[in-house]
Amino acid sequence: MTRSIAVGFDGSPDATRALRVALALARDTGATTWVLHARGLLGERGAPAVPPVVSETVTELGLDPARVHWRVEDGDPCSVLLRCVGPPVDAEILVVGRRGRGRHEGLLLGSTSLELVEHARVPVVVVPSPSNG
Amino acid sequence: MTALVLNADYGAQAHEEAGHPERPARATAALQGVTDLHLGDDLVVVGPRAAQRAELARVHAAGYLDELGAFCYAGGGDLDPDTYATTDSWTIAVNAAGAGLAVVDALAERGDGVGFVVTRPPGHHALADRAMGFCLLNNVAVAAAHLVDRGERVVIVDWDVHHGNGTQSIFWDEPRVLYVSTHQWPLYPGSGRPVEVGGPHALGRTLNLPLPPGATGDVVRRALEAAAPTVEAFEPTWVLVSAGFDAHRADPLADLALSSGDFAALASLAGGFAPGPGRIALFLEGGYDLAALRASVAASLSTLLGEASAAEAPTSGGPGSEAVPAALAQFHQTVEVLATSEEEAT
Repeated sequence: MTRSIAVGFDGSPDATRALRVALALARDTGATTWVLHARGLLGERGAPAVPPVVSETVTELGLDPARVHWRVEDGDPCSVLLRCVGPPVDAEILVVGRRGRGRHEGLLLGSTSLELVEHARVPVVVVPSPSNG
Repeated sequence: MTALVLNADYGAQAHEEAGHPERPARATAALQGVTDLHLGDDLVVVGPRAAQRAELARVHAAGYLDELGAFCYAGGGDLDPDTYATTDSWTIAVNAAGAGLAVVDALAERGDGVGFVVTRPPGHHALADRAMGFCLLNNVAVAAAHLVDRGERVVIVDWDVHHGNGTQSIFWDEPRVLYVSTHQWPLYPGSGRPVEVGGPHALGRTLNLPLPPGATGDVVRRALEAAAPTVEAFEPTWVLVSAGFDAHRADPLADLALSSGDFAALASLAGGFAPGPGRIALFLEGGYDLAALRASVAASLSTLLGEASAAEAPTSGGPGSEAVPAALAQFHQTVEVLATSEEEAT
């Protein structure tokens, strides 16, 4: 049984698709979902509020909001997701969009999804962009 | 004493992204901090050189070097939400890494002086196989590995406000390098807890002393003073400083509250770790307020050279007085527990 799913969310279209996949997985498995936002060197200070799309998707899919956590972590997206395999998130599945915000199509270097697939010790779900066909 | 300065910023104007805080003007400000000291004949400008591939490959994965070079030559772009590269960034980063090598070689040859490496992009976030946090190649790690290859024992003192996760990771299991970091916590990149103490072959060779937002210079000074016994027990033959100046109270990217005078005090403490003349070099890391950067560079370098400077008064009274002893206790406890586990496993 899957108890914890983590999804990376940076507000990009691919991240929004990944969010929907993660929440659907959580609904089907009964897992808790952690929506993780990586706060970079240039990130906003303080604690960014839960983006409306997160709450809207939770409602749309009929999930219990108490089982969906919004979490902001310092670091680059890859490091933040790799860390969340440990406590307190203890993610058993990582979900991520194919491309993050501002990334170039086909870019290998700097691809969070490829880095995760290479380094994560739990299953990684990479949600493709529509342009991937 | 002589200052050996290398400005690796030749051509680095081409490593720039509109509106990004890691910008060419930073190197200009740092160099102004050097010229403010009016060193005359005591200022030696070391000739630049590019790092050789084998020198980079001591700390970076071959595949990463290939990909980064190809990415830049193809026009560059964003490597992560913080980190950019341009067409010329590969050449500039290789020169920045080579700058550190040139300075430590020049110091070794002279047997005297203080090195200051004005490089950008900075390096201490760069991992063996990944760029991050404005950093492409890990300049201080390339220099430290160069020295280790010659049989030296290197302490890297990292007083940048952000934890140097790349440097820590590269030397995680290397017993001939001691990594000591003071940094704001919590803050990017999210690593740097006191329980991160090094790998099985290098237990206790990583010492992290995280500090709360608002901490003043007295607390950071206390942190380096507290690190002194660990450094002395290590018996370093070289001191390399990841000299970020973004812990200054004017810096826009973080929340520590140091003055330029505090950096002078930190430089004095780091200088005390050096076993003799010609064995310390500072590497420019962060620092994004240009006036603070200029003043802090001048204060640090003048202190190491034994020259007077007009630095701001040291600061005190901020939060975090309990942070240093707590972190040090966690460090020692973790090392002891892991060492015991290792013994039991063997």
